[in-house]
Amino acid sequence: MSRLRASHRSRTAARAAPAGLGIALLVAAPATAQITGSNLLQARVGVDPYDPRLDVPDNRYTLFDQFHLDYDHASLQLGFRFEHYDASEDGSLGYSEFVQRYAVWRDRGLSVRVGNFHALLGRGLLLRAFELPGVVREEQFRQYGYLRDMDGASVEFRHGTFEAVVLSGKPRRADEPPETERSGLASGAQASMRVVPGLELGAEYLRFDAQNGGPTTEVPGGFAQIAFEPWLAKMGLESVTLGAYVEYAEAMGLDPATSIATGVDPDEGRGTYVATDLSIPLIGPHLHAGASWEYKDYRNLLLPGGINEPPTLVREHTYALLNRSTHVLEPAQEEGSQFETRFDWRRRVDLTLNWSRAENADTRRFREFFAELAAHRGALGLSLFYDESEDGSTIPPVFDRRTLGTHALLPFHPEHSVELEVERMEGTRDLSTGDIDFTDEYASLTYAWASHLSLTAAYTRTDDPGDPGAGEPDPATGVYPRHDFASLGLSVRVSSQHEVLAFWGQRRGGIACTAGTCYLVPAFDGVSVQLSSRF
Amino acid sequence: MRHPPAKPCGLVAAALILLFVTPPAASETEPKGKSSLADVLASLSLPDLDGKKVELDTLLGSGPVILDFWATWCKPCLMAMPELQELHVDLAARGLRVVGINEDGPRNAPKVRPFLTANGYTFPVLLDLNREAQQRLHANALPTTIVLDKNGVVLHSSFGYRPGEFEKLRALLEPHLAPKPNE
Repeated sequence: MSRLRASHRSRTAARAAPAGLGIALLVAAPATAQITGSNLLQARVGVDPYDPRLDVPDNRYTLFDQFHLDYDHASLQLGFRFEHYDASEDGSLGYSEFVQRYAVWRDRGLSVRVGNFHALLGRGLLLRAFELPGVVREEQFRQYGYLRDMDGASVEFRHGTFEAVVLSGKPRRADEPPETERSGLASGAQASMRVVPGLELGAEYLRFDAQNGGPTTEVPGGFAQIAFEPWLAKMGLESVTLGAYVEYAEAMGLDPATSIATGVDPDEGRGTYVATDLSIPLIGPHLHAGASWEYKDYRNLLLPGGINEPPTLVREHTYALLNRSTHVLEPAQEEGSQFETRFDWRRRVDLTLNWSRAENADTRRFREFFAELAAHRGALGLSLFYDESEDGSTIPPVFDRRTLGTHALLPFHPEHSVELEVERMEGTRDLSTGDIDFTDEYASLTYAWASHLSLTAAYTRTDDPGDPGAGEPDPATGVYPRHDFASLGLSVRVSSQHEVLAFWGQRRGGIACTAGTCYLVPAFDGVSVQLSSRF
Repeated sequence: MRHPPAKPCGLVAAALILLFVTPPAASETEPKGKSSLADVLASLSLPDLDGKKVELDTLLGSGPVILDFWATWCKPCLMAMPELQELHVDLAARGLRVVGINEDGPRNAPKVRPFLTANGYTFPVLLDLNREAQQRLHANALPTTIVLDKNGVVLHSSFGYRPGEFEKLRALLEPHLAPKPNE
């Protein structure tokens, strides 16, 4: 902590500059300039019931604020993001940091950026620097925005169908506090071009220098994106679309220690990703269909600094119990595939089917089958789903997991509606002491008034031994205690610019997934109020 | 053990004051002295489902624009889609452009077109693979809906979706649409 405080002090001067810039932008903006921004303020009173610290008060108070401002004038963009955090029980946990500041100049296909930036090479096998807007991470008793950006410079150029990017910067890991010094330097480039109608080819390269005496990793790769429509049209299938994406990369100079841990030869670092999608607007009377198939083979693709994020090929679910039970990708060694197909009849009935599988090291494996049948007429909707899965990579491993649920949307007035969701999951955990069956149940009821507010009551019950607060089993029966989580949520649209979210009750801890990225959320018992604004 | 909570930081208070003194993005009928988002849109280009880059400022000029940030895994986003499609079908001829900005990212990108085709959604969708547009337009929740006039001035913006919301947008859009064909 003292190292963090020292670092904090040493950058006071650096913080003053963007602060001055922000004030200058606000008071001296030319008439033609655009100032846009957003703010997220979250205040909470409550505790993580499983917080291991002994001296945490039961009225623990935390305050998090994230303020983001952009200034645009002609070809120039300037911006910064500021974060503040306070925790009542320990002043040393608090921070106030400019977590991003940047300047961008754009003109005629050329874009030069200095400061913090996001980047994506290919589909993320080599590099993905990004953020999850609106997501607040909780790590080591602190909160901060989900940022995995770079601090450096990038140049992008585009002319016709040719595109190129060259970049270099220090990456930040999403689980690191904002004031932590970034380590390592990632430099890379990508060029792509549409060589003939329907075919785009690209080459990419990444170099990561650990800058601490560690190895320098190099990852060259290439990709191709193919749209088969021109050929399908010649066959008289104008309305059918078929696309494919293929990417391959090899990694060299990986850390041998990592390779020993995964049991994979450091010279064998490589990744293959293939995706296809097929859309058929009409395959019979009133029947429409679409399908996608993906394949992955990642070996030693866990790049240093956590700078990459290859596609997971695992379905991201809208249902509460399934969303938190997802398989977490292991880029160090994982091979697998995913197939999803969707049918629609008369725009009234939809059927979605998904099969996913993955093989990891040590014969661990993941399997999932998901089916959903949905019917809707106007705003009225009813859906039923069934899911079965096993995952040897979770801790502890889970198998024979079956989930059944339903969701109903019942409008009873043009502006008023009620939403009901009920889910039940049964499964077996493979513990060192033997197999233990568990049950999860979830129910929520939401009332919504269009453009004004919604009120949700949610209830979850579990005896899953894999839960963060599972507790100890009954010595006689081996059964784990049952935990209940009840909460009320209120969402109010204060104006076109401001939305207030309030939460009161218990939140279950575990994995949460947002936009394809999963992270751990601690349990919480208390009250939280959040104000989200954009202007 | 109980103790008094920490005092909020002055900087946060200043940020709050700034937020609430900022004039609303628009009145319900007409923007008053608001600058346009045209320059912000000009800085953004996103691939469509065929991989062709679309400059977002080219969406402006002919009529109002609805930008809807959505994802295939986002339940309220999916609940909003039929209402968006209805607006697109009813008002495209009068100049309205409904544009979906998909936030599925690399993880779910191959599922987007099959989803749209199977469900019969015909409004254009752009892929925001690395969330650049989401960040630039401060769409910090899904779904986020931003309604612009033909010059890029924000007429309305909102986080989240509640059934019946887009029906209420029709009144807001009406003054910005071309006259009905029989008028």
